[in-house]
Parts: sequence; C-alpha cells; structure tokens
Amino acid sequence: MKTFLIPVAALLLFACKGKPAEVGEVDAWVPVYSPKADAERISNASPQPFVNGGKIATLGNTLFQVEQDKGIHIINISNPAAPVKTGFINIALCRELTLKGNYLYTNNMADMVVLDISNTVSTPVTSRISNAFPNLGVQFPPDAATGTYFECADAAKGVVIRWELKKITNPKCRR
Amino acid sequence: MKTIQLLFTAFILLLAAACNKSADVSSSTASNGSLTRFITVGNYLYAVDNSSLKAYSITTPSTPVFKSSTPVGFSIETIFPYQDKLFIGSANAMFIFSISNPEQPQKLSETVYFVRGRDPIVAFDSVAYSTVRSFGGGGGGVLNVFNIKNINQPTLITREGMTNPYGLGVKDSALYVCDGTAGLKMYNISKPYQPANRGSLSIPEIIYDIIPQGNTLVCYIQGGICLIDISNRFNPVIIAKLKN
Repeated sequence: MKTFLIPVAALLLFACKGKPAEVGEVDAWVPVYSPKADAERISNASPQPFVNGGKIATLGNTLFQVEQDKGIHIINISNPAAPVKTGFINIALCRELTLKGNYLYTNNMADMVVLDISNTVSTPVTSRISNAFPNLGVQFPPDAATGTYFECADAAKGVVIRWELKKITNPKCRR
Repeated sequence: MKTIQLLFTAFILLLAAACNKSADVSSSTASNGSLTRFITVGNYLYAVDNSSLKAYSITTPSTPVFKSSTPVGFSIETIFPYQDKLFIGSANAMFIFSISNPEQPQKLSETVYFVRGRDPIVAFDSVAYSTVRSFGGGGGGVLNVFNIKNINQPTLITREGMTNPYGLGVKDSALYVCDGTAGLKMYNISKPYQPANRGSLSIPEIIYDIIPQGNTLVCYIQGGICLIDISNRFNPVIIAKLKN
C-alpha cells in the first residue's frame, strides 16, 4: 500500500507546482526583476508623456492621472481650456489613487503608500502599508491567449515588476 | 469552449430626493473618477482588493491605521460612497454596505446581475446607476438603473444598451456615461428611473472615465485627458485635450 501511495503523492506534488511536460521552445512569460529597494523608491520628476494613462482624481484644480505601472501625472487644470502638466511621480506598478486633504493614497506594487502632496514638486512618502492590494502585485503573468507557460518567479532575484513574452525552452511553470 | 464574458462595472448613485447641491467642488475638494478601488469617506479610507473590503482610519491622514477586512465576493472592481453606504461593483453583482459603524462595514444587500461584468456604480438616495461592460465576448454592455429605496433589496428598473461602457458621472439632472468608442452619452434624469437619452458627443478617442467638476467634465481618454464644458448640461463642448 505504501509503495503505491508514494508515486501518487509525487504526482500530486508535480501537479501543484504546475510543471508542464517538456515542450521544447515555446512562447512563455518571463519575469523582469527589480531589487526591492529600487521598486519601492518613489521620486518626483519633470512632466512625462502619456503612454498608457489610467485612473483619475482631482484635488481642487489639480488633476492626478495614473500612468499605468509607472506613476502619476500631475496636471494643472485651473484654466480648463489649457491644462498643463506640471510634474510626475515615479511609482512602480501604480494603478490606483485617491485623495484626502493634502495626502495622496496610491499603490506601489501590492503596497499602499501615502504621499504628502502639499507641495507637488516634492511629494515625500509618509506611510507604507505592506500588501494592502495583493492583486496589484504581479507574481503571476497576465492572462493571455498566448503564453500560458511562464518562467517561475524567484523571490531571491528581487520583485517582479513586469512580464515579457519570450521564446524559451521547457518553461517550468504553467497556468 | 466556454465563452469568457467579463464586464466592467461603474456606479453612480443619484441624489434624487435631496437635490445635489453639494456637487460643486471648492478649491480643496478631492474627487475620484467612478473607476476606483479605493476612496476616502470622512476619517476613513476604504479599499477593495479582489475579494474583500478593507477599512483604515485616516484620522491622521498621513498614516492610515488598519481597522478591518470584510469578505465581499470575487472579482471586485469598484467602490462608490454615498452618505453612510458603500456601493461595491464586482464581476457579477452590486453589493451595498453600511458604514454607520465606519470601522466595521456591514453588508446590507447583494444584487446579482443577469450578465457577468465589471461595473462601476453611481448611487443616490433612491436610485443607483451602474454600467456593465462585456469584453472578450464581442463587446456590448448596459446601463442598469436600480431602485434602492429599500436598500436591503434593490430592484432593477430598466437597462439601456451600450456599446462598451466604462465610467459614469452625474451633474444636476444630467447623467453622463463614458461609452468607450461610442463617445460620451447624455441622459436627462429628472425622472431618475426613466433616463431620457439626450444624444452623445464624439471624442473620438475612447472615453473611459469622468469627474464632474463645476461646469467642467474632467475626462480620462485614450492617450491622455480632455476637458469638456457642460455649462449647457446637454450640449457638452470639448474645450481642451492634452495628449502625449
């Protein structure tokens, strides 16, 4: 009986890891890593182009718009006929934002961070809450019709900041 | 092969009984678009992840303090506050929570949609509007109109067909729906349960979300932002676009 159970247990373990059979060279998602300290660094910058704009919030005549995965545009709309970008805040994996008083709440990967925006030229972080948005981290690749194979993320290499579709041989993970 | 039909929900609740006099923002008022996962209400911040609602105290705004996490459902997408209620949109339902105890929200009701979707909601005293956008299944979507006089049991009054709707917003008796590639759609909601179509405005970029601010709609569009003058509520005029 025991000798029968061991291979069954081994098979289950195999399945849990989602390891596919050897498939040769296929399209697969490959994680792009960043050192955690770099991914958590939030900094102010000059105005940046819109690439993949996201959610919006306003504080009086200042419009904040997420630049998906990159940060937040700061736009002066005091003259609605002539909006002007005044700055940018670099925030890795930014997707969400809300405001209260002179504070901006957003996500940096899965963490919630609070920025003091009383002066929009310099917006220091006043607080960080780890893993407030577990779904906004990217430990797994995007769902896609192609590339259901992926290279398993390795926490020892840093935090995953995005995924790239590449041709790789015998990827170890699959979703 | 199972057809994957996902939708997107935005909410608006309409203050039908008590005229929406508080809508005009002062220079320091903060406003969110309708597509959002977190919002502040007084001294509290509420955030939804995929499956739960988290409450934080922001009595000291610089330093949120975690208070509670309440299971909601799955595929949660959006949250909209109105008075002491939170309206939460998921892939297939509208949830209403009471925050009369702000640190521990209590579920009042769950209304399952006939179609799966992601859906922002806007709501007021007696009526809630939500858009539900289908994607992956050939597009399409609807604007749902709910009677929420009985907050424990919202009822679907009517629905309007949409092309690919995202966010929505209300200014006085005008309901604006961002219908993606089909532009900004206007409805007169003087009779809140019977929105009257008042035409649409081509952007022509995809329009995703809006924030009504005084006589201006601040818009999130494909490739940037645009500002629309709504001095005449049903004759909106694009006054600026900022792209790249």
